[in-house]
Amino acid sequence: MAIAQLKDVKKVYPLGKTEVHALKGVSFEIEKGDFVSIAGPSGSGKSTILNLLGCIDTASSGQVVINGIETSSLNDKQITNLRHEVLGFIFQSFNLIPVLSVFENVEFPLLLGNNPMSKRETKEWVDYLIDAVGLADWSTHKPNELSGGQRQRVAIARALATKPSIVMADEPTANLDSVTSGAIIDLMKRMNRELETTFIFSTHDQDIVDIADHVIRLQDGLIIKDYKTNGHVSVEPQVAKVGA
Amino acid sequence: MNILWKIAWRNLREHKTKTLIIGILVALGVSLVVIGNSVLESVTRGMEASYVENFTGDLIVRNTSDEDVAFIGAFGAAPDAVEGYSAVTNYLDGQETVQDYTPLLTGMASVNQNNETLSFAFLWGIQPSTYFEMFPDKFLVTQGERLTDGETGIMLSQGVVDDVLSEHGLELEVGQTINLFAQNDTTGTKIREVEIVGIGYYENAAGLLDRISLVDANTLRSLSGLTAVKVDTRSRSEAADTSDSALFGGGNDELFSDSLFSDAETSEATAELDFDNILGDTSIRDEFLALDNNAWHFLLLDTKGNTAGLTSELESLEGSSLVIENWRWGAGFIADLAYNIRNILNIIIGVIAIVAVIIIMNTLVISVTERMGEIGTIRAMGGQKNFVRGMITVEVLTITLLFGLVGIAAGSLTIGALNLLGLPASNLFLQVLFGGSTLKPILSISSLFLSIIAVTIIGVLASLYPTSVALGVSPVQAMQRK
Repeated sequence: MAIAQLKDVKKVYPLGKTEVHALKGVSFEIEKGDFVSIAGPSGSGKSTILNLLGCIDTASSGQVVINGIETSSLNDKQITNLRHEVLGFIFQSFNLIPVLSVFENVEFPLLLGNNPMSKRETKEWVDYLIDAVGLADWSTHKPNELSGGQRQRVAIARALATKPSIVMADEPTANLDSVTSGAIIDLMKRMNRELETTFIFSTHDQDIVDIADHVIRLQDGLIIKDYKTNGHVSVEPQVAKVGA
Repeated sequence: MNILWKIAWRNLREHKTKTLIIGILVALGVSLVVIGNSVLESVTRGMEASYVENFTGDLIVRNTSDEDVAFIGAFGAAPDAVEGYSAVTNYLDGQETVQDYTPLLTGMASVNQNNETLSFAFLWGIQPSTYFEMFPDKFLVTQGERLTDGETGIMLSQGVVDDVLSEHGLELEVGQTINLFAQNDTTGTKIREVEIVGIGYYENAAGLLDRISLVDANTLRSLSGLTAVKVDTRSRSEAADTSDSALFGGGNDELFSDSLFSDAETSEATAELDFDNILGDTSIRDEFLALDNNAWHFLLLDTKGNTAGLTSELESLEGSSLVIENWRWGAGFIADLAYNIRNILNIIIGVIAIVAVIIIMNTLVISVTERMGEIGTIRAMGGQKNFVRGMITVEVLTITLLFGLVGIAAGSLTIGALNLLGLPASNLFLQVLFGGSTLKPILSISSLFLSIIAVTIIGVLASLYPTSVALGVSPVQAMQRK
């Protein structure tokens, strides 16, 4: 069953008197539990797709379906709830709240909406996540006391705090060295397996792309390849659709 | 909610310079509110207590008038006598809320001796027994005695005595007589010789209040022209016509006829004029020029409890046309001055508040702009707009209330210090305002509440625009933070 789906999605950004066609009609499906890489060079539309899948931006046309819900019909409150309950985010620049400790940062998403867990359960869950990302000894530290890799680990734990169905990661290793990048991707992969959470991340690093079990390659706002590493999923080249 | 306060508090600590700029501004504004309002409230409270206890009582009953009438001397038109005085006092006698009352006359006269004008005095004509019962020991007698009922004389104010001594080198003493000159609309210029029976002063009577002298009622009635004619204005015109006829004979034509003067000019034989015959019978004139013993300008009431009913009943009392005033009316321009200064202070505070709102708002907008990524992240993670709104509002309220409390503490300490040291009145203006030579201000509780309400409003207003900016932050901006 598809947990996320884009149907002929186009995205146009106004730029002065001209328009930039970031996505020129993109369609794909992502299955629950997939570890998905959206790959492509800069300006290919990776971040735009993540923004649309993450419900933090709207398509100019086409449909974005998350968890069976067509998102264009939702109002701001509903879409915010959807983000809170279904989606988790990992950002390129970590985007931790600087005044909160590691524990508080991980706990933070739980405080943004209805948290079904008791105080004790919350603490146990947050501690589990922090332990799972290897930061048990850093729980009381502030983000500025951590290395880049450690911060991204906190961000991963935070993204998983609300037990989302999908975690979006926008170039999560872009600001990290290669060793740390590998460790972060390994961690995401482990979380993907252990929690059966769907991970969708954008990258232009070929080594990381190859770890994904579903790869969507973009170029100039179009999908040029959409395949699973355990079995190639071919799609029609969409170049012909440019301008359609 | 806990997380909002946590973030707000830590953000304020994180950005110390910004916090201090806003905080100092808020604290200064609040301390100004506390100090200014405490001082002015002390002034007005002191003034109220001083006037109520020494001069006006709780309520002043007077006749209605189209003009601004004076309670003290020459600060307005001469008031009409209270209509239906006996009926009013009968009514007051039966009121439980009225503990005491005394009638009062007001006027002004120049003080003369041996054909030399020495000074001027504000005069209050009193009924000594009731006046000194209602205001015991308020007029402190330094020489001589108090007036007694039926006695003619003046209790001259120390201010007048000092003025005469310094300006003319004359020492007025008890037992001496002085002439009081005054003018009125009814009987024109009047001169009355009175004996100084006492010299004294009202405590805390600054400015011109130290010129209030107490005189027997009939002397002031005479100086004020409060005759039987004056009391009943409706009958006055009729009576005056009769009186004129009786006084001057058949009328002006007859009075100024050629025969009267030609005879006087031409005939030595007529040199001995029969004035009794010319003036006729003066008994009617005498009757109408006789003083009205029931003529009083005011009734000063000492009351207890709620006087709203008393006031409305007095104002609708049949046969009278009364207005009920309080001490503030009695204090006149001095009280107005204090209230106007307070209003000016509040306007200044208002301007400071507007400036504070603008500065806080600008600082917050910068803060929000710097934190767009953070706000976008919160929105991306599922933070509703209300959460962002709460975050900004709580942050502003934290800083304004925190430094508001600092301002309240600073203002309270300053008032405490001023209370210990006393605020000196360095000139006559301040003496009038303070009601004495020093003011010991007391912390105004209402100004504390006012300050807290003011800083809360400032906080909420200052947060409106930054909040709208924050609410406009899209979650996409979290992604754009590289």
